[in-house]
Amino acid sequence: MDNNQRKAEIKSLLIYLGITFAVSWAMFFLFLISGNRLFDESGGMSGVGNLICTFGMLCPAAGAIITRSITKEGHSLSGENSLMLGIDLKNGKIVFYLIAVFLPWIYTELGNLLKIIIQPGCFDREFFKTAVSDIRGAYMFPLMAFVSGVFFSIGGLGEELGWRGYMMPKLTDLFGFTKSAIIGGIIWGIWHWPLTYAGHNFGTDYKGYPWAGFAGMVFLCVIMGIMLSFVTLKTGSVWPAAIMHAVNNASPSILQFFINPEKVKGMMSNSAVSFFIHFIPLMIISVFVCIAQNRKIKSPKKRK
Amino acid sequence: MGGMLYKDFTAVKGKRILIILSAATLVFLILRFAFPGSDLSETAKGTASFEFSGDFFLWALPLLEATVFFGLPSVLIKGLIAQDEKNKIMAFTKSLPFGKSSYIASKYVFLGVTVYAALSVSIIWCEIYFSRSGDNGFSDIVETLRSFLIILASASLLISGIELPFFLSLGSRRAVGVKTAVLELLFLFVIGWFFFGNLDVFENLDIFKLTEWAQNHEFEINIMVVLCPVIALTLYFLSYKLTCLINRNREADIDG
Repeated sequence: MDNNQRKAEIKSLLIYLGITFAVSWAMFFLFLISGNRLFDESGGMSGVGNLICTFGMLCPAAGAIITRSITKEGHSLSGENSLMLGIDLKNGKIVFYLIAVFLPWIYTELGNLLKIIIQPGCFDREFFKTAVSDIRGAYMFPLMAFVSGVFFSIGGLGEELGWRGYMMPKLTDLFGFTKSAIIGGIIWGIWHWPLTYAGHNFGTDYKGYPWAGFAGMVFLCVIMGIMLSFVTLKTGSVWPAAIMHAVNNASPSILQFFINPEKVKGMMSNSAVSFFIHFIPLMIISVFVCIAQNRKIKSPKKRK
Repeated sequence: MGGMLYKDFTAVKGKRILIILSAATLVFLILRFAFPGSDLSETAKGTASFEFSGDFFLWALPLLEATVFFGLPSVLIKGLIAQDEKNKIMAFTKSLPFGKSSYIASKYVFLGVTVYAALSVSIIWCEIYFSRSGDNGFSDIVETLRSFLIILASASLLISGIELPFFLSLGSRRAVGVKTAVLELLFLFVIGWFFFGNLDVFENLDIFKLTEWAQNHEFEINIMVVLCPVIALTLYFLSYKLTCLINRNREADIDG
């Protein structure tokens, strides 16, 4: 990549980030200063909170589309420098679609298992009754998450069209896979901060609020970003990342129905600590992916 | 394939459809914020609503969703095939290296994307509804409707899978004829039922009981939510294979 191309890539990236952050953060801040709350009295997500998250998730896609119009990169659906909306299942690519659907179940279940191993007292055989009417509902839950992940992936697609479809290819060209995944993850994590401040993922009642939550979100976005970038890179499409994102958000786990938060004591009762433990399996998988990718792609120049 | 999809998008005036859907979403959002709340009150014979927003949203949301799930794909199929016939696209694609099966596949993918878009828009409408609904009986009904969205999408996909072989094999004019005949038969059957059938089901229709039933049969609904898309997608794929087979045999007959 010559100097001019490099400058053009950086300029496009800055335009994209400027638009995406401006639109979504303006919406998030308006939501916060208007006195709305992300959660209602029952502790569930409020109606307006859900709506703001849904619209917020669509902002990166809008940012990418607007930036492409400004930079005249075009809006081709598939191929090089496209919106990456094509679907190709040939040449073993179907494996990465399957990974996208099933991997969130594996690491979420392992994360919950780790919580039980660290603190066996939180395991409660009867806890599922608070969430589902009968035990079959708990066993059925991961399947529901897969189906809703695939069909209700519009939010995930909205984010992935921007982060993995537009930002990551440019960052990868500039810095290579691992560095770009870390930088991209940090940017993506920071983008979530207004919602983290409002209590998304962690609530507001934890030690170290809001900074521990901010750090936790960046941590998740870096390790999750590695996996999402990996499946996007391998398939040349944002669809597996969108599906994986949506399945991850649906939290596909059977064990979660047997972990009673009221029985969680000590450090693990801090939602930021619990969050970190929950995603340790994903972190291990992401490190392996990074090592494997680095062996293949030593630098962006060599890849070219 | 990407080029074919873009051609189809242009042929059915996709941008205009997107603008209409966006405008409908915006209007729905404004109305929702202008008329928050809404609830239904139970009467001896089922339910009645006493608020404008209750009445409006009771009909607007399902009506909008039925339109995007069943009206939109149906209109698009006719528009797509009619446009291609007018411009002799099918004959043109036969001369191209990727052949007719890719042409047929592009129509199936386009309709699949349409159903996915319809589902996505419906989810956003449900979110808009819930954003100002409060916790009441009507919210339970919309919540039930939301859990049925995947089933509605599966039904929409299935109907497209039935319509497409007719349109792609018979041509738009004859396929519309067949479709009209089937719809007229269905209409006659409904009229006949209104005249001679047992209409007690409407008199005793209790929307609260329906919601209660859905809440008590959560597991059965979940099974349906998981199985319906799997069955619909399998049948949709078989429909594509069948259409390819019919067209291949027809080409062989013509060549012979």
